[in-house]
Amino acid sequence: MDEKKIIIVAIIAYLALVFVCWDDSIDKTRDGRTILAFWHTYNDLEEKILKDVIKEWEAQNASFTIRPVRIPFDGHKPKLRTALTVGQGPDMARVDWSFVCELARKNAVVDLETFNFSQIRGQYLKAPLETGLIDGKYYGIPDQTTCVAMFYNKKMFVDAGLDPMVPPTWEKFIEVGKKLTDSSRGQYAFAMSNTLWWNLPFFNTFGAKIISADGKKSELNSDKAIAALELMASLVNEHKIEAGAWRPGAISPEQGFVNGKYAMILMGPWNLAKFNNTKMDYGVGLIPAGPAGTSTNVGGTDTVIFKHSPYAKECYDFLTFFTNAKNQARWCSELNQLPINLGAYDLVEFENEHLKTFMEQMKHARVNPVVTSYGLLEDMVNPEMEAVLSGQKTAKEALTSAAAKIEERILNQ
Amino acid sequence: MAIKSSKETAVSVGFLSPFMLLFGIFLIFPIFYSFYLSFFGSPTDYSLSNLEFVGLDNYVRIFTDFQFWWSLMVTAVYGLLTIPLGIAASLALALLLDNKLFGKSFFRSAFFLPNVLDMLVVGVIWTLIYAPKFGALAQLTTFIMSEDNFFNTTGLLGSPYTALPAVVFAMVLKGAGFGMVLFLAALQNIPQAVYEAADIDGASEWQKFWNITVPLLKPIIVFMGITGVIGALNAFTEIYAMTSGGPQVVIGGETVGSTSVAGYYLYKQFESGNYGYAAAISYMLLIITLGITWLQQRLAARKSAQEVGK
Repeated sequence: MDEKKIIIVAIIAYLALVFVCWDDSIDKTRDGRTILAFWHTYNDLEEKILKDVIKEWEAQNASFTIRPVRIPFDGHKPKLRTALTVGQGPDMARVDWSFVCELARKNAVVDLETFNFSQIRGQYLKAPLETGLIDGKYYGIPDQTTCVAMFYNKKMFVDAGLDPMVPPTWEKFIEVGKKLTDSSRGQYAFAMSNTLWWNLPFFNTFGAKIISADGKKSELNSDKAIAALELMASLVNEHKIEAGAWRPGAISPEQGFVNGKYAMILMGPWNLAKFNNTKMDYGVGLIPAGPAGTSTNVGGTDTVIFKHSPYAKECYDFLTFFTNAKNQARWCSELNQLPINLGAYDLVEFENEHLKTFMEQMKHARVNPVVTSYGLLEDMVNPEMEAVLSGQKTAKEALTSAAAKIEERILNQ
Repeated sequence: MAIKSSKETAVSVGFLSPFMLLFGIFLIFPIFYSFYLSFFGSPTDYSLSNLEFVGLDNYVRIFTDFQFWWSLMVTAVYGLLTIPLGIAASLALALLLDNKLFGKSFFRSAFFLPNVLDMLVVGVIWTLIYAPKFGALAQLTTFIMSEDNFFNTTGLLGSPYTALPAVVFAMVLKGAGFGMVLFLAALQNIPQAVYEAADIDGASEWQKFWNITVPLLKPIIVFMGITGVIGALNAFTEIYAMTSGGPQVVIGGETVGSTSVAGYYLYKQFESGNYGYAAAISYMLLIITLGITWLQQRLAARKSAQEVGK
């Protein structure tokens, strides 16, 4: 064998050795501190503050160090599922609110009452806190919350001879919507998505529930839910003030709003900075009231502690420190986000008018449906809603069918 | 001699082993493991050791799953549209570029280019072309017709009746470049003398095409037919990128996705954590693929034998 071949074989052997012997389970630093792995999905700005908070916590807990590991938000669920399946999960993680139920029911995360969470949970905002409440126990500490409110293009209102403000009720919304719509110019009063989460505000303003309080039945076929879906369908088919943005392949509400084609859309605070950059003149108002008043959905994330971690107490200590009033005040004032800690509201002076509207809207949020597989719930409901919007089914037929599927494939599994 | 041969074998195995290791871990093992998994229910926790053995339940469930059979039907329609249209488009391009055409090198590269692009990228581009209101097609039709035209109000991907043909059209154009190269190579191998003999016999252009060109291109057509069937049964990315299985259509009271092909339905099952059922579906699709491929080969072989007999 000549020298070249020996080198190639040696490289291959070395790579194979690295591949076989790779060990990711080192849990101590060189100076003897225990490493706690924290998988998160924060962006650059958020991660910077997270690292500062970690430094502060480590100063008080000299024998531990937190290792933040950023994972992409879009892939965080499968990544965590795989890691947990092969026993390589982190000590704690930041997860989407809809994932907490699956993690809790699959026995992967710690019941926070182990650490007397009831003594401090009153400091958190109710709606985001409830996203971590599964079968009567708390498994997630909220760290970030969002909801949607109604964004409106002020110029389009003025051009139509209207006061630039979101109509207070759905009846007024339709009335104003007809004046804002000019289909010959591709201009519509409203554009909506067709997913359950985005449409929860409609159901919530009618006081409709998706899942019963005991989690055993679907109440999607109730009169209230049917009325909510009928309203959505009427915006499309009867009043023709919706742009059809829910159709597959259509321009999204966000895109059409930025382009000045859609006068109103439901949107969250995460797009405030982006919309500000477009220099468009827009406002944010409360979602029009239905029979149950104004309301919205709840989004955001929770932090959870995994059962396999031998340092669950320390993780809990860090996460409650991370979400205390002082740290939340800093987090929200620097990042323009909604605080999840009630104490933070007294410490932060919000100058952003839009954010104030979101804080007001959040007070009217209703708890989201709690199911093991939220993705499956969307898969059951979204096609049925689309069948109604496209005029192929009545709201009653569609929601009766969806409720039956939810009970058969999700609740009774 | 024997020593040298065994030494060469050892070196070959040494060089092959890294690939074989990865091949074994990421392909062979999952094939067998998913077969094993198809006999188990959904996990109740994150440990695959706690799976409940359900025997043939997953396979039995397939037979009563309307959504699966619907997705198979959509796949069949998708295949029936893409395969012949793909072959026809490839052949047409090849015949066109087999002539002394000005700038044919440019056209060959241009037609082949979409084939190099990622399926997801092509899907997104076509979604933007088809998009109602602001899409290229909507703008064009609005310019030619009025605002109130189908391409502008609903869009090709927005209607259950046009979404699948729209995806097919995009995929046929994407794949035509590859078929064109295969047909071009085969066309250039057909001896000119055969056409000259046909000319002497007074054959028309159509007769020459139908009785000389097509029979001599049959191996390529069969190859494209077989790979087309496999491609249709594996179709996923284009649907994921362009329609997500929608728009919905109501069939017998059941709401189903008009472009929900079997590959996409399988993905949705896997995404929902129904690993056992998803594995059973994938084996069912494997059996169907093998069956169709076997049938295609038998038919092609029988036809060849008949032609030899003539």
